[in-house]
Amino acid sequence: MLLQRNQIRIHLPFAAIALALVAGGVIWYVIDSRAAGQWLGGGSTVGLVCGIVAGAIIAFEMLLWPRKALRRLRLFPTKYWLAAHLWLGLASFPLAVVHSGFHLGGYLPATFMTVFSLTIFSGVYGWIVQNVLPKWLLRNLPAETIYSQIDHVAGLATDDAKRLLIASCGQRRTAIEQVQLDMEDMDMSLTQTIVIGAVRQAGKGRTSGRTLQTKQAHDSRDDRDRLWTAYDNIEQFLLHGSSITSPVTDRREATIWFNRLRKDCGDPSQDIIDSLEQLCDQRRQFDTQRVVHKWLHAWLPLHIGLSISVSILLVVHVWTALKYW
Amino acid sequence: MNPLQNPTGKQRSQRIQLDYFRRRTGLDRWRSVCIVVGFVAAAAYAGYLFYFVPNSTRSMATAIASNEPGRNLLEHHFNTGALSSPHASFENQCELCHTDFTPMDANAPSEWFPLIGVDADVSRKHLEDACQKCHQVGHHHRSKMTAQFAARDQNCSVCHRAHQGRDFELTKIARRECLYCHRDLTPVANSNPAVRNSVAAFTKSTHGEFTSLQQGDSGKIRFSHALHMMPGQVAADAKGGMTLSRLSPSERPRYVREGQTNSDLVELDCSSCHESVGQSVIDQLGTQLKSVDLELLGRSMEPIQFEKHCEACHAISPGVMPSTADPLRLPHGVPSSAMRTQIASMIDGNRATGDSRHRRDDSKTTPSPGLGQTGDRESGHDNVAHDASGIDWRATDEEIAAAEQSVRNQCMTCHDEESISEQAILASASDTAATLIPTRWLRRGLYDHAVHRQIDCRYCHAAAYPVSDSLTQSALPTDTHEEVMIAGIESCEGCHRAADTPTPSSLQRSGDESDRLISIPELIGNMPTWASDECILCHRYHSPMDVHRPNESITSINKGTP
Repeated sequence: MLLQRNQIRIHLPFAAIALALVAGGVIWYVIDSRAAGQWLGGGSTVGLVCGIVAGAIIAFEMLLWPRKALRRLRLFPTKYWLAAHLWLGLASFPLAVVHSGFHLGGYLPATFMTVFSLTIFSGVYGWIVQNVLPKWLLRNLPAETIYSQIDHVAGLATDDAKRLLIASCGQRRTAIEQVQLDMEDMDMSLTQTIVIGAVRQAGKGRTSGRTLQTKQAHDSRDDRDRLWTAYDNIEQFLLHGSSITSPVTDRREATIWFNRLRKDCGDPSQDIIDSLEQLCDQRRQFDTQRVVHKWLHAWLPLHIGLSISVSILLVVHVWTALKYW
Repeated sequence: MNPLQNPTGKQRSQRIQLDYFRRRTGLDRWRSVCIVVGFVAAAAYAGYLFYFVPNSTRSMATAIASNEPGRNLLEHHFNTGALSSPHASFENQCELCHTDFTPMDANAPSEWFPLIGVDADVSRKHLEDACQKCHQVGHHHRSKMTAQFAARDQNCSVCHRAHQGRDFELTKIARRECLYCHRDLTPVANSNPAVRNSVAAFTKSTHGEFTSLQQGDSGKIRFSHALHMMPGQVAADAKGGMTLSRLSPSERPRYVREGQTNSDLVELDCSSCHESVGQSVIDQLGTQLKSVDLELLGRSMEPIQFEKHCEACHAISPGVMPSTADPLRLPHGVPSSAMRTQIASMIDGNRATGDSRHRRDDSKTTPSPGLGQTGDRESGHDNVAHDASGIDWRATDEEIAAAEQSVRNQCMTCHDEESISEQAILASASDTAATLIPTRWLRRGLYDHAVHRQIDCRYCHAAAYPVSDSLTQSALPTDTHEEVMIAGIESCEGCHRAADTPTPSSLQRSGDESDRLISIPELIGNMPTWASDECILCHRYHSPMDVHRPNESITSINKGTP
């Protein structure tokens, strides 16, 4: 959930509640501990209250799951629910530390506290990256697409490149047959505008969206062999990205490689080469997006898994702590 | 779409698959893995704890002895810490101290538990009973406490914190535990406390003077420490000082000092009469002394015994005894009726053995064994004894009465009339009779002479010493038995102070003439001048007199108290 100025009204009440809980718990704990002459444990009045509050918060945090499952019921606006999830979740950690009396205890409470700490850490990490990486993606990866569609869009881009070449300079000379020569003429006559991709563009105000990019086909049959050879060199890269070793995998080497290609080709082919270079750049953005996407989203499954463990360990901890209080 | 075919407008706009959100990606699989692993791992651990741990072996003694931490499952999983070594064998038997779902935590909100049907009193009593099985100690004026503090008193874990690790000392009670109540006894006691209402630290202003010292000396023995510390036990200008030659040969080695001859005056020091409990045992062991024997050295001093500490100079004599090498002595603490018989027997016995003479015998000759003085037939006694030559040597009533008076006069040197009455002497034979010299002075605290043995006696008992060795008879007190010659709390608080306070200037004072050339550092054996000021150093909590009454609850003790 974004934490920015225009959302301060959403966050502020829950942040205030969290701060009040933590400050109240800590101050009460320090006062009682000073009176007792020792750091009180979870069995003391203040330790017990802090533990109950922290446990209740953990239970509330886990309600995010059923709430999502029942989102059709529109029980509570998601933005408020998530703000409460974030701030109360943050408050639960210092309350749990106070509850523990700064002792990890046996394996069970130590495991519980460790898993709980990891859960909080993963959540904080997720909150941070969600406030940072999307903005970076928006700024640096205009060709960004839906993560699961990267391979599909990469395939489309490969097809676009091939269609652009066919439209501009015809089929490969070695594969030409009479029928294809006829089609070549047809392609040359019919395919004047080729889609070569889509980029995200921000409109006025808050509107934004993706715009198809097209390219006019020019007659480049003089450079047919060179362009088809170039395509052969970059096709696997366009399909599979940086996992493939090619002249265009590295951005700097790609620039040199395309510059050399431009020198070897005539003027009509320059637009085609620009388009190919643009498609290669798009593919590199997809690769970057794939990495960033993992950083951006891989924490959440971890957070969920840890949360489930925390919930189970919380029940066990409550049972054993009350039994041997 | 065939790349050779020109795409339609719709195809151009569909750069993504419309059902993309239904397609599982690597992240979806990662989420499933995390959920399953998180659930299974935690559930497996919970199952392990609930099923395997309770059924684990209870051979804790074996586990501890063989240092196999892996077998100590309860300790590792549930315990907040290991039990101390003396209780380590109970590590897996939580139920010995704990009552299920009933808190014993002293800081728990016990007053709210009845609202949910939990009685913390049950848990505290369970723990107390468990402790009492081995530790037969009484409570701490519990009947005089309000319910809240009586509950703390009943809860052994308030002071004796378990689960603090193997090396934790359960009896090392911090001062804060004492101050919890003693900082202000007003809310603690049911009525006005008999002790100081507030004690915050170990200083004269916050702790007060030792109560025992304020009560004066209850002893009834007339005695002057200063006089006895003078050479010959007389003033410098007095004659007739006690010389070594006047001591019996068997007593003499005990009092003779290096370089002294029999004509020298007896010089006493503290150890002449005061010795630590167990010191005599250690002395007797000699070369057989072992390090463990030193543990015999007690904290307090042996009581003063007439036969051991006084008789060498103050032997009870009927006045007719000769100065033989080791004369028979009249016993101490004997009723007058028995004393009369003892006196008569002694006189007759001495005359019978030729060790004494009749009161009118001035022949200066050595009497023959078995003979006394020539007969006293004019005395008219019918029951007189005669020897072979017909001489009457039995003591007469007048002689015995005169000897009795002489003995009585000797008794009155140290005792008063009341103490030597027939009834008082008979009563003193009882085991429960009060001693004429208190055996312990600081009754509310514990002073350990053994650990302070490097400190010169003068540091705490300066009043027992004469101001000077040249004191004249008029300046020397003859009886100071009502004066308590123990320094007050100020002699302790110099060293026993808070750790963050500097050494007081009184401990750094150099000696001068008034200090008899001994500086304070020398008096305290040049030892470090800081020691702990924890209450537990001197005070003990549990009362041996208050016998724990099983099945007695706090609420029943303090019913109706505020």
